[in-house]
Amino acid sequence: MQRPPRSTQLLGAAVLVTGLFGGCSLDPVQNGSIKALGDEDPNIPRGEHHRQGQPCVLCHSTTGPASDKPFAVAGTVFVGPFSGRGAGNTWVRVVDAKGTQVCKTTNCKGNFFFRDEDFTPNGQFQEKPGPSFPLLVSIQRSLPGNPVGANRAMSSHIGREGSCSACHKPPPDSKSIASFDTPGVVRLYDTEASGDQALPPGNEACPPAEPEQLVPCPENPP
Amino acid sequence: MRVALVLSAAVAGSLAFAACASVPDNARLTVLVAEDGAPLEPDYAIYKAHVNEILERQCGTLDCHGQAGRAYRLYGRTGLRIFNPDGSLGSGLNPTTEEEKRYNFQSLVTLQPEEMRRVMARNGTDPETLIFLRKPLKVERHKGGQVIAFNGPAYKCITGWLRVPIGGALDADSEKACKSALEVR
Repeated sequence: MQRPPRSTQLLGAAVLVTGLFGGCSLDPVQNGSIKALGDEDPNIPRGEHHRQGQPCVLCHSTTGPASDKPFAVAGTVFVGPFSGRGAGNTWVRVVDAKGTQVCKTTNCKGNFFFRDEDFTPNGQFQEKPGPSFPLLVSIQRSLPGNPVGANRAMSSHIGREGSCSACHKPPPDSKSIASFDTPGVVRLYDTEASGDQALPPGNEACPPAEPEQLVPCPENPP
Repeated sequence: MRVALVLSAAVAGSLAFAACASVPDNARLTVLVAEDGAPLEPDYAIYKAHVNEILERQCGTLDCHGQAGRAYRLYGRTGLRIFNPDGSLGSGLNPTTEEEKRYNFQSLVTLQPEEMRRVMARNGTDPETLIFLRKPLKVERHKGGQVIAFNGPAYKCITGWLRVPIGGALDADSEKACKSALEVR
């Protein structure tokens, strides 16, 4: 049998390599970071409640394993700095550099996400889909008898990162929020005591058996 | 066989060139001075009072230049802090320290030290030769996009600083621009 020409051999090898690696990211930093997140919690099904407090956009990006559901900005809001209790029904507001304002409500795990099209609702992208960085962000949670409730705004802007927890990592010391490279998790209150007083821990299951009824942002039409 | 020959030639060539390189001379340096002999150094006092806070806010967030791995690294209250294992300085907590401002200054003026002095020798004209302005103006590729505007307050403040020789004073227009750059969120 005659050997195929060299060009055909090279083409075949290229097709084989593309087939093998085309479906996953070749970025070793991204792959390493995803691997470091560990396995899924077996008690929480994969979905909007999973991987609370982890850097969502690492996977939910065009080069990540969840590339079919890419996020522009996503994260988790906690009640306090250390307990890991998610702040549900919290309004997360983002304003981008073009002045587009969007708002989403967190679920019972405190998770939220924005997609590119949230920032370009008419589908008419001027340059590219998604938010125009830098972004300004704030969170608000109304309380019983206090519609304004707890408010916080980031004092600096987001320059480019879509995952809140890429910067808002839990501090290394579980008793102090002071850390040289992180301001701590995104939270409504700086102490667990003040968080527990304003929003006492409940016994509700999360994720719930029935679909959640979230409180929509006041500025969003029902 | 042919590949081995080419490789051997490349190795031999590299060794020959390395052997010819001169011994580094620590005493050799380039000094750029003004016509009257005055040193051309960016002024630290003006940087500290006016420029640092603008760069901290515009460039020093934790997802941009407030990262330990960046060549141009910025420390500050709302971003990365100098490494302090005792936790005395926290991101988002304590005001930016004198030491952090000094490090920020050194990080900036050592990006293109000779080019920065050339800009100062030209009394601040054509400052866009400096990469630290080219990037945020998006004259060249910048992952963080355009962060400052041509002739905007931050631009005027920074270029005003580059016009001032060491020990000099910022002109009134530049000082006003520095203040208004901090009013914008």
